[in-house]
Order: sequence, then C-alpha cells, then structure tokens
Amino acid sequence: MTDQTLQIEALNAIAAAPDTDALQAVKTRYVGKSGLVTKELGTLGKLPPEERKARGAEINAVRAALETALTEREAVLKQAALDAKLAGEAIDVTLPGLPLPAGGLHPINRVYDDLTAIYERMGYTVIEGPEVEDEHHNFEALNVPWYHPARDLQDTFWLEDGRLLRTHTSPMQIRYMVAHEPALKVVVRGKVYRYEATDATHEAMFHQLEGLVVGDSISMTDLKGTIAEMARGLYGPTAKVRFQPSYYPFVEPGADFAVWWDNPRGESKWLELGGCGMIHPNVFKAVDDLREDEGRERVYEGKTGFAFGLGPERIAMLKYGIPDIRYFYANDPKVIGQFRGDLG
Amino acid sequence: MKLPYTWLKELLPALPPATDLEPILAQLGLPLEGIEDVPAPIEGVVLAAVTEAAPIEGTQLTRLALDVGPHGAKTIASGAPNAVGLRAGTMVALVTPGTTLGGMEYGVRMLQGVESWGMAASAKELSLGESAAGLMLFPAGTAAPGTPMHTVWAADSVLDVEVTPNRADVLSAVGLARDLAAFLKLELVMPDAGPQPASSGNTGSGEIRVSLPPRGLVIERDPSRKLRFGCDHFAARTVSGIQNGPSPLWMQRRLTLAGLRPIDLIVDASNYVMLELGQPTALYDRRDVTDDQIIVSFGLRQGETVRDLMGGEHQTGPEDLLILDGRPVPISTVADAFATAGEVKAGQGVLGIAGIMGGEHGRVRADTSDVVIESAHFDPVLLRRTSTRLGLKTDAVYRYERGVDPLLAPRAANRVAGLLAAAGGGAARPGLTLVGTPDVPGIIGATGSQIRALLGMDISTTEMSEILTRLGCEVVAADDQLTVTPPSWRIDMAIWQDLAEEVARLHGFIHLPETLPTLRIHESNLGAEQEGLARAGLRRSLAGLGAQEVVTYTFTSDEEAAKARAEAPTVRLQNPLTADRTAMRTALYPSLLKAAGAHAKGERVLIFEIGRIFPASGEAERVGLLMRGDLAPKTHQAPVAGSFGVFKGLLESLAASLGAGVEVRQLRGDAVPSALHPGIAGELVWNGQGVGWIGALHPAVAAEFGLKGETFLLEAALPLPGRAWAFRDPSRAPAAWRDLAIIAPNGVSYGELAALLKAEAGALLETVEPFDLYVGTPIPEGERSVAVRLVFRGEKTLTDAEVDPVMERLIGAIRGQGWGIRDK
Repeated sequence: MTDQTLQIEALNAIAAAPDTDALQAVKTRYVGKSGLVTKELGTLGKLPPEERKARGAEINAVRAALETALTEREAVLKQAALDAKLAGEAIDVTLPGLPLPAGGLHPINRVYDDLTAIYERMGYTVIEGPEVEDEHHNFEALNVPWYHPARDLQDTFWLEDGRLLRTHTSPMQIRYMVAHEPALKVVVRGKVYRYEATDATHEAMFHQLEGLVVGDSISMTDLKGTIAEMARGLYGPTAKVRFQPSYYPFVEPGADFAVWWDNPRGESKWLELGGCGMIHPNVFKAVDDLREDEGRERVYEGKTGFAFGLGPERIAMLKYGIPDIRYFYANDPKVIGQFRGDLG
Repeated sequence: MKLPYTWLKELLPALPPATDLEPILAQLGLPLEGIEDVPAPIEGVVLAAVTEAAPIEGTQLTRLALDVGPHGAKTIASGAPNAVGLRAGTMVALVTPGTTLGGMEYGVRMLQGVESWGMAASAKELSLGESAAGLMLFPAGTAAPGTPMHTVWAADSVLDVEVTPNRADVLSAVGLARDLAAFLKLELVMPDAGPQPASSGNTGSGEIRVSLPPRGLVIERDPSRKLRFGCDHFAARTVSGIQNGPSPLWMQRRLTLAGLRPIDLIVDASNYVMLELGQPTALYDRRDVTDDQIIVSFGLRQGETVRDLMGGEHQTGPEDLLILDGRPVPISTVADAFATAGEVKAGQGVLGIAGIMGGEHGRVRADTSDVVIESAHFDPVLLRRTSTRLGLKTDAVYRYERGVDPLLAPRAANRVAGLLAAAGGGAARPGLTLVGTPDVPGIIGATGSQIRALLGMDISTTEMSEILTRLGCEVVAADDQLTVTPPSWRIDMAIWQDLAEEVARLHGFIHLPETLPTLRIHESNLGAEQEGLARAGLRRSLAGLGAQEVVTYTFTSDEEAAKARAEAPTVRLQNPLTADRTAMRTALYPSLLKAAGAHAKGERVLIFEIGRIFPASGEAERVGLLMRGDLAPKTHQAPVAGSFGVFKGLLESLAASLGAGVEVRQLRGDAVPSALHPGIAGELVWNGQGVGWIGALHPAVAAEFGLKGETFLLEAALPLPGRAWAFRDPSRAPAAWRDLAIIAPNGVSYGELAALLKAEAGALLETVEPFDLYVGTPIPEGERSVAVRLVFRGEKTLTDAEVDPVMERLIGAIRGQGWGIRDK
C-alpha cells in the first residue's frame, strides 16, 4: 500500500466514524502504538541511512495529516453529542411557574409613602401617635374650647370613659411639641375618626397627613412654598397651588389649599386638598403649659410655625379613579391587589 | 347661608353680576356651596283680591269670591286651612284656567256646588318655597287684581355661602355686603334705620323695664372661667295698633328665597331683620308682658317645664338664661327677682328661652296688636350649652353662639319697629328701653414689620392701615406701629395675627409668594424618625415575602370579640353608629379573620396588617400575618401545601431579611391563647424578647368566622426590639461537622434540645440543624429520636482533638437530662 492510499483510506475512515468510540478505533488502527502508520515508522531502521531521513519525513507528514483530521472530527462529534443531549432536555417554557404568592402594599399606604417621600426629601421626620385621645389634646390645646361652635364641624366619637377617638391628627402637634424642642419639621400619618354616617365619600374612619414646622421666623410664604413643593412632587412640574382664606381654630391666618391638576385621564381642575395656616399663639401657649406641667422648659412662646393637613383617601380616589371610599377597608383582594408597581 | 342676589345688589348698587361672584367670594374665604337660579312664577298665575270668604256647609272647604281684575269676578273652593275667614281685600296667588302646572292643566270645574275658576296656590305648588301648609296670602293693595304674579315676584339667583364659625359677622345681608364692599371698594347703602327713639334708657315712663343678671357668672362645667355676662345689652321697644296679617310680598319673597317660611307680618319682620342685619329678635304680645317688665334670669326656675310657641316642652336647667315677665309681684330689683322667683307657678311668666325659642306665654296671636320687641346680646356660651342640651338649633341661636354684634341691639329693635309701623299700621312708642354695657372688641397693637414677617409678604404699613380702615376698624398709625380698634361686629378679631389675616385676605392670598423654610433642626428631634423607618421596612419586607397588606376598621363589638375569643373590649363608644361597631378592638387578628373572609372560597390568603389595638392595658401597635390555603396551589406541578412549617418559614425569612433572630417557644396548656389550636401554638421571640404569638387558628373560632380548613396566624407588638450588631470578619477555615441523634420524650421540644446544645457547646458551634425525626421501633413508646447536624468552625482548621471534647460535653449534658443517644 502506498502512503497515499493509506492516507486516503485513513481519512475516509475518520470522516466516516459515526461517534467518538468509532473514531478512537480508527485512531488506534492508524496512529496507535501498533497502528499502520506507527508500524511504517518502525520500518525506517531497515532502510539505508541516506533514505531514512526522507522516508521519515514522508511518514510523519501522513501521520500529522491524520492527527489533524482526528482532532477536527473529534470536535465535530463532541458538539453533535452535546447538541443531542440538550435537545433531549428541552421543556415547554410557556407552562406557568410555581404560583407563589405576590405581596403588595395597601393603596392608602402607597399614597402615604408617595407623600412622605416628598417630605423626607425636604428633611421632615415621619411620626405616628395614639388614636384614642383626651379632649385636651384633641380640642382644648388646639384652641377649640368646649363651648366653641367649631366643635360642630367635627362630629366626635366619645368614649364611655370621657376620652374620644381623635377627630384629626392635629393632637400630634401638641404631643410632639411637648416632647421636642424647636426648630422642628414633622409629618404625621394615621387614622382619624368622625361620627358620620358612611357613604361613597364619607367614612367614620379615614386617614390624614399632618405637617408641622416650627422655628424662629417661619412665614406664610414658607407654607405656600412647601405645599407647592408637595404639589409638584405629586402631580408633576406644572402643578400650581392656590390658597384661599379659611378657618381652623388652631391656625391664624388660616387657608384652604387647592392644587391645579393636569389630569392625564380627564378634565384638569383645581382640587381642594386640605387646610393649613400659621400656628395660633394659643397653641404654643398650651404646649408650653403642658411642658411646664412635665417640668420642661417653656420654649415655644414667640416662635412661629405652620401646620397643614390633607386626606390620602381623597388623593388616592382622584389619582386612581376609585369610586367609593368604602373600597379602602373592604379589603377585597381584587381591589387592593391592583395597586402594584409603578402606577404612573 | 342662603341669600338672594338682588338683596345684596340693593345694598351694593355696583355689585358685579351674580355669575362673577364665586371667585370673588372664594378669595374672601366665603366659598359658595352653590348658586341657584330661581325662576319667577309661571305665566298664568295672577294676584286676585278676596271679596268674600264663606264656609261651604257640610264640607271642610271655603268658598272664596275673588276680584280677578280684567277677568272679572270669579269664585273658587279651597280646602286650605288659612282660607277660612280671610279678610276682604287679602290677595291670593291664583292659577288661572288653561294654565299647566306640575303636568296638570287647570280649568273651571264644579266643586261642592261652587264654580271653581282655577286654583288658589301654596308656595310649594308654585315651586317658590317649601310651604304647602296654606295659600300664599298678601296684604290688600299689593297689586291691582289680575296682575300677573311674575311681574311683582321676579326671578333671582340665590347664593348659598359657606360661612366658617369665626365669621358671625357675615351671617346677614348687610354683613356679607360689608365684606364685599371692603374687598371690592364699593359703596354700601345701609337699609332704613327705623324710627329713631326720642329717649333711651331704663326709666322712661310707660316703657318696658328690664333687669339683667349680674356679671361674672360662674358655671359648673368650667368654674375657673367666669362668664363675662349673661346678657350685656338689651333693647326693648313697643309698637301698638298693628294689624297683623300677611307680610308684604317683597318681604315674603326675600324670606322665601332665603329658605324661610313666611308666617305673618310680626314674625316675618323679626326674621327679616335677622337676615338683614344679623340680629335675632323676639316679639312678645304685650298683654303677656305683665307689668311691662322683663327679667333676664340666670340660674332660676330650674327643673321647670317651659312650653314653647311651637308647642314643644322643655325642662329648664340650672344654667339656662330665661326671659321672664313681671309676674307675680312687682319687682323693683334683681335681688327681688332672685328672692321671689321660686314662688312662680310652673309655666307662668316665662316669655322664652333666651336667644333660642319664644314661649307659648307671650307668643304672637292672630289678634295681637301691641308687641314688645326684644333685641338683645346674650352670652354665646350659655346659649350654646342650653341649645345643645335641649336639642334646639334655631336660626337665632346659630347666630348667637357664633357671636352677634354686641352694639347692634338698638338698631335692630328700631328697624323691626319701622317695618311693623310701615307694613302693619302700628305706632312705635317714642322711647327705647336700653340697658347693659356691652363688651366690644378691645384695642389691638401691632407693627407692620411683625405682620410682614408672619405673612412673608411685602405690604406697606400704609396699605395695612388702609385695608383695616376699609373693614371698619379705627386705625391709629404712627410709623410702623398700628393701634387698631376693630368694629363691634368683628368679635373674632382679638390678636395681631388676626390683623395679619385680614390684611392678607383683602390684599389677596393669590399674591402670596412661595419660599421654603430654612431650619437647623434642634437635636432633641434626632432619632424621632427611627420608628417610622422600622415600620416602613417591616411593611415592605412583608410585602416582599408575598403578603398583601390590608387596612381594617379598628371598631369591634362584644359579639365579635367573643367569637374571636379576644379580650373583651373596654374602650367603648358612647355614641356608636352601628351595633357591630360599639367598641375598639383589643387584638389585630379578628380584623384579619374578617379580611380573610373577603377572599373567595378556597383562594389562597396571605395578608398582613400594621395597626393599633386598644386592650385594657392601653393602646398599642401590632403587626399581624395570616395564611390560609396552599403557599403555591396545584397546577401541572405539585402544590406547596400550606402548613405551620411554611408559615413559620415565612416568619424566619422575614426575620432574616430584617437581620433579626427569631425563635418560637412551645406554648402548652393555659399558656396557649384561647383562639389558637392547643397543640399548635408558640410564643414569638424576636431578638431574644417575647413579642407575641404564632399558631394555627382554633377550629371552633374558625367556624365562627366561616373559615374552613387550616388558618395560621401570628401577632406581635411593635416596635420590634433591635439587637446589638457589629461587623465580623468571617472565618475562612473549613467547618467540621458531627451528627447526633437524641432520644427524648415527645414532650421535649426541639427548641429545648437546641437551646441545651447551644448553651453547652460554646463558641466553636456555628449552627444546629435538625435533619431527621423518627418515632417507632426501636425507640421506646412516648419518645422520639431527633437527629441533628452540628457544624463547628474555628479560626483555624479544627482537629478531632478540639471537637471531640465538645461532643463529649454535649453527650454528657444530654444524658444529664435523662435523655439518650441513638447509636449509629
């Protein structure tokens, strides 16, 4: 057999090897220890020295060609084997995954979080406080004495022991100021209660966000700027704020604020969102009196500050188009489960 | 407050059109609740003069003979009670035949033998007012018979203004006009002042004599606060020879548009002046004002029944202000009144409950011709108390409790007298009785810079002075200093901040610039944010675990607490709205059980709440978590069934994500909360402190809430305790491990075993994990084998020589408890 014949025969065998085992057999047959090419090398010793070198080069060329072909064929066969294995592992990825529960926050707390995020950016501290209050913190200290007609504005749930369910978050103004010194910036979140028959827009229990800022020279323009900052945080850079005179006994001057809302889903309009004003000096006096009772220093007289309050239910109803305030506390998973992710 | 636009327009001739008023009033802090266009009566309604009124025998009807002007003489039959005995000349509103009203065409028909030509109408039938009780009646000569009514009763726009409790001064046409005049710089045309008295005082002969209670009254509710007065200003004027009957059409129209019901001239004149000036008055039949004497009494006549002019009966209390006449004996001094009051017989002599309601005694009747007009300033606190206690909220007390102008009493008395004289032919007596020294708003000092600093607005002191003057204040300005005497009607103005508000209001809140406060927060506030941050972190971690947050009602009832086996509520409502909300909840889980009920049957439930509870020990904050059904329901894949282990796994995952150590200690016997399954209950220990409980709901409680299958619950007190923490460089040395199977009685919990191992092993023991529980041969009855893997790690690779002694110690400790080791 000539070298050429041997090479052609071997290359054919390599190309025809169906798998790695067959290829190994071909390898053994030609270039193994006792393979045909290897044996041919063994014949070199019998050749005259002057022919030996040339003949060796010929045989090694054949051997190198076969080794290359073997390596290439082996790579092809390994890839084919892997492809076949992976093909066998294919699954239907359109089948559903394990239905693990997915959690979420209640829409009221989502709105609260939106609001408090805005205030935290402005350096406010978020606090909460008791829902059962005494008459002093809920009314008297807030400049609403027992004989004041303003009490008619807040129908109250009275408790059998003479205390009450707070009608607003404003008693936390008193509690916080008694325990801390100015300057201060806080927002209060929490439930409030009104003795009021329930319908689509009225609930006996609802929520408020209350803001309180006290310092040495706080002005009403600071109040308006703060509300405007909130409005832009809630409704984007085009939101505007309108103040109109109003009356809350614990502020003077007092105002109602409305925000111009570029409604993406309907009519743009002024939304009456809440009330605000400059803290009434009688409130500071009541706080100092309570501080004195506790052995603390009187530090509020002569300070100025502002307070504001608004209802997250109303904001949520407007923002998400929720038709009925009672939806918030029915806890129907089909309702409250919708408030997930970025709601725009 | 409702007020027809044309009334305001009469006081302010330059007033802008009604449709422009909404934004103007809003800028003044007087937002409109609404503005209603009220049409005139329809065509076909004419005024007709009664020529004769006669009962129709055997019926309840009255035959009215009418002069209908161009239509000639007509008759109608009317069933209205006020058609009986009508005086000739009185005019009625007649719906003429051929007119369609309320979908019905009126014609001529025979009624009980009377040819009835159309119909005489009530205000309600003409859609002019609420009153359906009788015919609309007008005085003789109101208009020529046959005059179409719409030519004298014009269409109007009725403003419904929302008035905050501080603005008593705008609860009248003049008051509202005054504020608008100041804002818009308009001229205000005051209504006629009435006949000016020739004299005023308390001594005029033939006039009413009045005694007032002493100043400085003390009331039980608030003994530290002396009332300044019971009544500090009292005007009385007498008008005689009045022919009472229907009031003039213009007056009835204004009253009707303002939402009041016309009665008769005397009552209407009083109501009209209240709407016009804001001063309530009471008019008494002079025959009942015994001895021409009126005593304003405080603290007398308690426990007596007073019958009011509407027929209602009221028990007087010890701190009511009452209006008494001079009965039974002439009284010359207040002291006499006090001394003799007790002898008065029940019901006699009480002309009214001051400022709230007139009495039956003294009330104006059809034949009343001489009246005493009472126009007084009463203490708002006393009146509010009495009105609240008696449940009598009248238009008069609504104004008194907010604060009536203390100087207004004489003007209002004269105005009523003038109306009665002009419309009823009466003659006012020349003298006016006027007693008392009214309290008026005091002087307020302020500086312009003070006001500018509070508002942050650049308004000159001169403009401030000008604004306050327009509002009726007397202002003395010296450089930056303002000395301001508010007008008597602005009793709400007391401190310089009130002046600032008025300045801002009239300057315009729309001109407020926007700035932000720059503050260095006092150090006492540092750390106040921690609780809120912890709460927010907990809330987000629970949602991240797959739980939906709920917000539930904090109300409960005895029944619900009993059903849930929760602590009986002690924080109870005095005035519950509904029977299922009579108290405040004592635990969170009953709310979660109810919320779980809102889910569809068989649906997986995983919900949590952070909220407040109100047990006898005091208000507290709690977090609760509830799971029902499979964690992952069955699909083409096997389900992950819900179980206590899964539920506790969620708790452990929560704790791990919050960096807390959590432990559950087995509860047994009486220690198990009664709402829980007695064998599946544990104390929840967070960072080493007991904070609540975890377990499976007792099936009996589940049944009460209609929940089938297992429900798992936990409830823990907030804030959750923290832990000390410091970074530790982890050891890179390989771990050594040993397995150990402990045989102990079933009653010994895994937690107890693990606690013993941890306590004995010392610092080398890294973790203990159970990997097998076994019950059965060869383990003795009543005992079980718990196999645990102990992982040890040191700073360097541990040798057997280091681990073996620890293992010996552990085995010794286990044996020391009387427990065994299972051989391999």
